[in-house]
Amino acid sequence: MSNETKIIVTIAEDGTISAETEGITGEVCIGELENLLQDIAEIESIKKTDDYYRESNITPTIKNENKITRK
Amino acid sequence: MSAIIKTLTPFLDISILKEAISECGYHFVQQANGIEIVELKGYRPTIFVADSRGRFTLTHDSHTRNIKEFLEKITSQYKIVYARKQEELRRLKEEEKRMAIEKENALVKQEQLSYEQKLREIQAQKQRAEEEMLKVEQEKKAYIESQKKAVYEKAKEMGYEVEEVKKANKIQLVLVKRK
Repeated sequence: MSNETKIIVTIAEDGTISAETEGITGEVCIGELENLLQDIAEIESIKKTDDYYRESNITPTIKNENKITRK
Repeated sequence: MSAIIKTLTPFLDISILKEAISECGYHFVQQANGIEIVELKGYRPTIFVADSRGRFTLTHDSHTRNIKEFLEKITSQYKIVYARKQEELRRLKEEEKRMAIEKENALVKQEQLSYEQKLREIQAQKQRAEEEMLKVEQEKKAYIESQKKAVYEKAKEMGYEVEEVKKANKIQLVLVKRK
């Protein structure tokens, strides 16, 4: 198993952002992305992949107190 | 990969936003703090307000209905208006070229004067369209830079190292945290 976790953030020409995690399993992956993007942009959609349903392999870096409201 | 998040299209240009609102059949009133949507009134007015980075976000109360549907329509129309403005500029540039050639080819002096007049009109229209698009592109560029900076800062705060990768028309930031 890889000893590093990654978040790949792509900023498109129109200013939209897409971000995906690599090496992070479990629900915590969404928490990491939400922590990163809260206050930066409004989230339109979240797609969960197989790794999301596995046991978490990291602890969240920052407790997400201000949960993002999804539109 | 365990999750992918996508964000909404940011509304960055006020004139495009106003056109998109009107073309979707809504009415707006320019207020000191933003653009109020007449048809969407809850306990508080529904207003597009510019944030510190130049993005217009919709503020509304939770009782206002049809916000999701409204935002979807405006997002879609905003992209259409932007594309139309780009297309109009492209058309004016071609028209300018064509008119210049026709003017050169005109044999009669009177015809040359007529083409010259048309050419001047097109050049003025093109200049206005160019200035408008330049403003839109500068707003976008500044916003993207501020997005990049905000991601860098937040990533560092979360303990990630950041590497920027150049991609065609996109910016890719790879955030890495070693266990």
